[in-house]
Amino acid sequence: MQILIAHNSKEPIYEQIFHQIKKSILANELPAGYALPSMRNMAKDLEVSVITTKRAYEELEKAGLIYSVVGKGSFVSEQNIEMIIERKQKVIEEQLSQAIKNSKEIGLSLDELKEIMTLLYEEMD
Amino acid sequence: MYQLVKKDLIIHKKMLMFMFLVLLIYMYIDIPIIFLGLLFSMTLTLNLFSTDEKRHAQMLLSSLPFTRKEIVSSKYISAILFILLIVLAITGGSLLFQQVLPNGFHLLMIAIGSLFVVSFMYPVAYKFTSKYVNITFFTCFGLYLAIIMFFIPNLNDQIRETFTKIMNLGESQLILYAGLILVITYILSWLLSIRIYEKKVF
Amino acid sequence: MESIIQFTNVNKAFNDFAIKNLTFEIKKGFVTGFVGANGTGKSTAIKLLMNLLQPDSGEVKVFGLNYKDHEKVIKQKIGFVYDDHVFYEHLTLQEMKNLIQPVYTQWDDELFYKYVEQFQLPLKKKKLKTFSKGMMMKASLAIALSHHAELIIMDEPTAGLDPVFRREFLNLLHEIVQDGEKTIFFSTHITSDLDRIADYIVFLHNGELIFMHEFYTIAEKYVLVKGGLDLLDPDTEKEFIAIRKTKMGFEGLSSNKGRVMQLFGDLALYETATLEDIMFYTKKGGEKGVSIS
Repeated sequence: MQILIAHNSKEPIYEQIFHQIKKSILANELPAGYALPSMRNMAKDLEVSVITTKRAYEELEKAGLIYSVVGKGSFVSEQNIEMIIERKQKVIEEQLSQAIKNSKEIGLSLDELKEIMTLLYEEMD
Repeated sequence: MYQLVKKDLIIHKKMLMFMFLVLLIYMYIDIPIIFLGLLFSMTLTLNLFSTDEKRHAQMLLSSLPFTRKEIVSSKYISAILFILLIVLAITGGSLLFQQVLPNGFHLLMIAIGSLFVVSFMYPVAYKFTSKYVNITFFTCFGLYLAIIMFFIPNLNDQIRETFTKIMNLGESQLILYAGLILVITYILSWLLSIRIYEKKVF
Repeated sequence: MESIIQFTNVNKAFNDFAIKNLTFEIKKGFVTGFVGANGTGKSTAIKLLMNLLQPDSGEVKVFGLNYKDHEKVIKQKIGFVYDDHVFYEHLTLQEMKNLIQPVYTQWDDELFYKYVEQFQLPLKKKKLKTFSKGMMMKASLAIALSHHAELIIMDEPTAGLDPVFRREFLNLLHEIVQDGEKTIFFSTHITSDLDRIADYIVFLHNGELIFMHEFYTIAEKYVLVKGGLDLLDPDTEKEFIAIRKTKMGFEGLSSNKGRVMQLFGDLALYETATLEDIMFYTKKGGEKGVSIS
């Protein structure tokens, strides 16, 4: 993977990173499942701030070009909307199972759990 | 806090050695030990104070994981330690030159006298700077002279009288009373310095 | 995101200067640049942060703890670098290290010697008072980084450094924040240092917070506008923080990029505002109202 940054360009640095990675993904130079370097690592190599690479990764994620797994890193998505949705659903299922498991451990009922979910869901809007 | 005391010892190591050497020379030419003890204790404890008084040292110490209470307390402990070292040095010198132990009463008087001086010196130094310690001493002395001259012309006689009375108490009683007053004064001075230093701005 | 530093309505008044109602938060795992012209209160704020000063009112929290009850816990986890010499000058670096080492429970000797080697610092041959400003900064840095501090606070660390070491220094900061566990907060008036490293900017002017943003939003919000004097009237001038007028035309800073670009369209020139521009115009704007010449 190659990224070249122009510090004195009019285009913001995060956009430069975004476009160059996007180009590589669409040209299939970065295959699906390819693990991108961590934001912090990339920031160090490019001599840019962490928040810049973070923003670039967020934009890539928004565009559905990559996906992130907490604690594992960011990976190139398969360029198929259904696949992205399916993968997200799988992650949601996993996370919910964990939440249910924890609820059962402390004797939280399904209704109470739903209530918490509703609250949190509405809070995030 | 123990680290702060240790730091004082390390930083003043050379100074201490040098002072002990000078002390031994003075003892060799037979200058009274009470006078020497008080003089050297005062010099050393004032020096102990002034090294950490500079802005950079205060910034360093206050930025390290110490509380201001600890910074002040360590100075009071180091002062005791330094005075103890002087007393030891005098004992050593006495053994060396006269082959006898010095008068124990005199040694105690040195220790008690020096600690009294510290009790008055440190709060003044914390409130203003160690520079003002000298000014304070001279002011007190001037005040004392003024009192003698204008208000109580026989103050000296009175003091002498009181002093004779005190001396009649006998050495052990005298030490006991002086020691008790000292402990109280020292602790009060300690607490006062903490209060002053906690409000200090640098 | 977890906050490492929290200033809440902090006030501190001196005879001729005051920190006014300072409120901001510093996020864990990021580098925050603390900027403002000299004499705008950066050093005072850093002293408040280190508990070298206590606020008249308001609250300073570090790691979510207050200094009153947790001073030692907090300071164990802070590495500090000041712009002044703070060490005992008649000692060597080795002697100074020996004094500081037992103070920190997490001291790492190996790490210290690694930095000493990397920074090419004399350990025993020279007394600290003979160190140049740059060497002193490196020495402070070596000590600040050797006890696995979670928060590194630096007051003008790059001021005395040559350009080569400045770059190395920034790389070092990148390395420090790699694990996302450590937070860096440093003041500077050399704004070019910030381009490569700062995630957030806290901008102080006259003791007051002007803004606290992700660095890149500055380019999104602020714009430097250049145009002919005929473009200016009382209405359009309101859009600017300050304007510099000459016979040739005007140059002004606005914090409302979208609006002014819409307002002037192709009639004006637009440039990305640098932090220095923002510092300059904010100062001018504060001094003489809106327009300056």
